[in-house]
Amino acid sequence: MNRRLLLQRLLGGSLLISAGWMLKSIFLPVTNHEKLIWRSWIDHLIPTDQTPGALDLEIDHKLWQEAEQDIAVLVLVRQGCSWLNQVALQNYNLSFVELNETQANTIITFATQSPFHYLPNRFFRYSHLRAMQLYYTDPRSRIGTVWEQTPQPIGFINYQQRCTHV
Amino acid sequence: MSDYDVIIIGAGMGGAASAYALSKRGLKVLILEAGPTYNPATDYHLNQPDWEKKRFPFKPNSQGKYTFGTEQVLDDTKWSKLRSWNHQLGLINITSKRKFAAYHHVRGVGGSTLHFTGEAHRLHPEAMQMYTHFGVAADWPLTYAELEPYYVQAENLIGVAGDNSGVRQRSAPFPLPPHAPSYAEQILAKGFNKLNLSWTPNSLAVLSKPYANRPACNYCAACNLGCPRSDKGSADVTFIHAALQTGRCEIKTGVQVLRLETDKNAKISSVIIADNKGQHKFNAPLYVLAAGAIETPRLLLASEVGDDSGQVGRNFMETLFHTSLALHPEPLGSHRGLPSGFICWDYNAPDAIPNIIGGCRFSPAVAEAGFIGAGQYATRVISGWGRKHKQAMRQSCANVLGITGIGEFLPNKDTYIDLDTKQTDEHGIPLARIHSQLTELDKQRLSFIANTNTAILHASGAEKTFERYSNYDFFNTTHVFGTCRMGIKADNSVVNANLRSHRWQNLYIADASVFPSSGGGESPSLTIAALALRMAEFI
Ligand SMILES: Cc1cc2nc3c(=O)[nH]c(=O)nc-3n(C[C@H](O)[C@H](O)[C@H](O)COP(=O)(O)OP(=O)(O)OC[C@H]3O[C@@H](n4cnc5c(N)ncnc54)[C@H](O)[C@@H]3O)c2cc1C
Ligand code: SF4
Repeated sequence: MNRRLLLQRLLGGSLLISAGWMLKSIFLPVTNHEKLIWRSWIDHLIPTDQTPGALDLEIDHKLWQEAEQDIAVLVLVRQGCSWLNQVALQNYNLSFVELNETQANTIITFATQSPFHYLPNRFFRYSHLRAMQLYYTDPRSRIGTVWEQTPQPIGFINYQQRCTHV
Repeated sequence: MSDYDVIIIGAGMGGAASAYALSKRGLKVLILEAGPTYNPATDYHLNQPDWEKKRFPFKPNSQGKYTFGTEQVLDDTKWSKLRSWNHQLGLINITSKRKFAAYHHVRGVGGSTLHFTGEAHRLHPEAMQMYTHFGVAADWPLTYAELEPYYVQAENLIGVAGDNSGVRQRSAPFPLPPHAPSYAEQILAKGFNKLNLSWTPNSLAVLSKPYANRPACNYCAACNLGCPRSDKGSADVTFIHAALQTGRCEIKTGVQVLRLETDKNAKISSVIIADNKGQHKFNAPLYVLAAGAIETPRLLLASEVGDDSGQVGRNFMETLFHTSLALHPEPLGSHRGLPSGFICWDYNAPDAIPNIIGGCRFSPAVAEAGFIGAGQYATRVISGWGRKHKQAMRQSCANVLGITGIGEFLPNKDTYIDLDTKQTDEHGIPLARIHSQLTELDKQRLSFIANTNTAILHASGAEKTFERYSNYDFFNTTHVFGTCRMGIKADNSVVNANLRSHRWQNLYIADASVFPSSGGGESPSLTIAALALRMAEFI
């Protein structure tokens, strides 16, 4: 599907989500499916390649637990998951968890391009920020990066020289 | 009869230097410190895999509480370019008001020097005479020449590394040679050279060679997270260490002074403290108050130990700064080195910025902006997500160049500390309330700094600016000064040139609150130490 067209449709879709429906849904118990959507979303943000992905470090689980500590975050996360699934159904007739990488990336792109204060954008920003923070403070994520070494105990006595990484 | 000759309140740079100088003179010193002790070897996390997550290890009671006054309305018609911004997050403050973010500090033995950068600056002599020359702020009641021998003493005790051909008149060389600039700083320096701006190695309380049983720095860039090697000259490993070695200094930690009590002879008679066992009283013939520029006025106001001038809490000054960060095509590895390896003093004199009173200085800013670990790069620098993002992270050579300008903050009537009328701490003492407003002159200075930052980054070959932030739209301060200013007259100052209270004969104030002006971007700790060392000679 033409990416531009899809974006236009996605925008329409997001505006169709009514506030009432959203509010009602957050008082319902958390379903396994919601957690699977969240897991899939985090997996798309930081997938496994030659280094571990977010799921390998249980970032999805840690962030869900974190969200459960703060009702505002939990609402954002659950609304975000609902939105993801709705958009996936509308556009691909599939649940978000069934999307391939290209399809999921199209939806993520839309989220990043939606207006700053809209749910998709806020959901993306929040989950991207926290997932990246949590993931990259785990040493397993830093294999092969310039930050592989901890600052101490040996420091960087080559600090005057050009960086030779890559 | 007291067991002590002097009680010092607070073990930050001011309290620590006072304790060293007074105990060395033979006085028995008791330091009362609200925060905990830090053991550099075990408390700091820089050798642990999750060091970036742990950051500076704030312990229980290692931060004070405070509140804020009314937010200033931002004047975006003129100054929108000064708003804090990141290419991923957009405007950081999306409101129309100047947000109160934080007064960055640590409570503990060493105070805020525990996570300071280690800049060890001497004030510009003309910045000490702002009223005489420019009709703003107030004059220091002593000259640079009078303070100079104490700067030397402080530099020697701390082990400051610096370049002797630097900008200030000196009676003795730095005890240690300067640090060489990092690779990233060498690239940034090219920008300065292109613009005909001069730069010099920064004078730093960071050892360039082993000194006083402390090792040399190994350039991990993480000074703000606490230096586990103790080569950074925070007050605990320098002045406090030396004070304890005299055998005449004792420290009680976890002890908050709640109140000063006075007698009819215009003297402080005792201090009431709270610790984990309850409330107690201590007394001594002399008292040195060194609780920092926010807690010192709070304690005086809460104790109703005011002065005749009504100046306690007035003339508060914060850090005026602007930082710009950009990506550079060179493989910089800018997570290595020192946070602030060189400095440009060209605009530091109070009349150096064309048509704007008050100076500023420029220095690299990558580590202070937090770019030493992967987490910050992943969220603030590298865009996107998924495989491409991971690939970009692996290919990154930490290519961020950053520049900060810090400038003079002139006192104004709307910027001050008072007591919160509603909120108290757990002992029922009202919290300090911070009021802060920027004046047009401050914004003009900030704008000059912002434009110069942009020009420097551009000249150094940086490609894409990805973040700018300043104190235009946030109160976000690391240096605080001026709430018990020193001066000659009792009607417009709180202490005299020797830091003795005009009103209370046995009370001295020895922290950043005595500064009559902030200087043109100089970091304050060395001056705080020099003033305290000088004070001890006049007690
Ligand atoms: C991130 C950061 C970087 C910095 N970088 C630099 C730099 O490079 N160079 C530089 O010169 N400066 C730097 N500074 C500023 C510098 O750290 C401070 O200006 C300096 O430490 C202030 O010293 P002080 O003695 O005035 O107060 P503080 O360091 O605030 O010390 C006051 C002490 O008093 C204690 N106290 C307060 N109230 C009570 C009470 N009621 N009872 C008992 N104890 C009390 C506190 O717990 C504290 O330990 C930096 C600051 C920060 C936050
Ligand atoms: S750069 Fe040097 S002074 Fe700073 S924390 Fe590392 S070793 Fe310590």
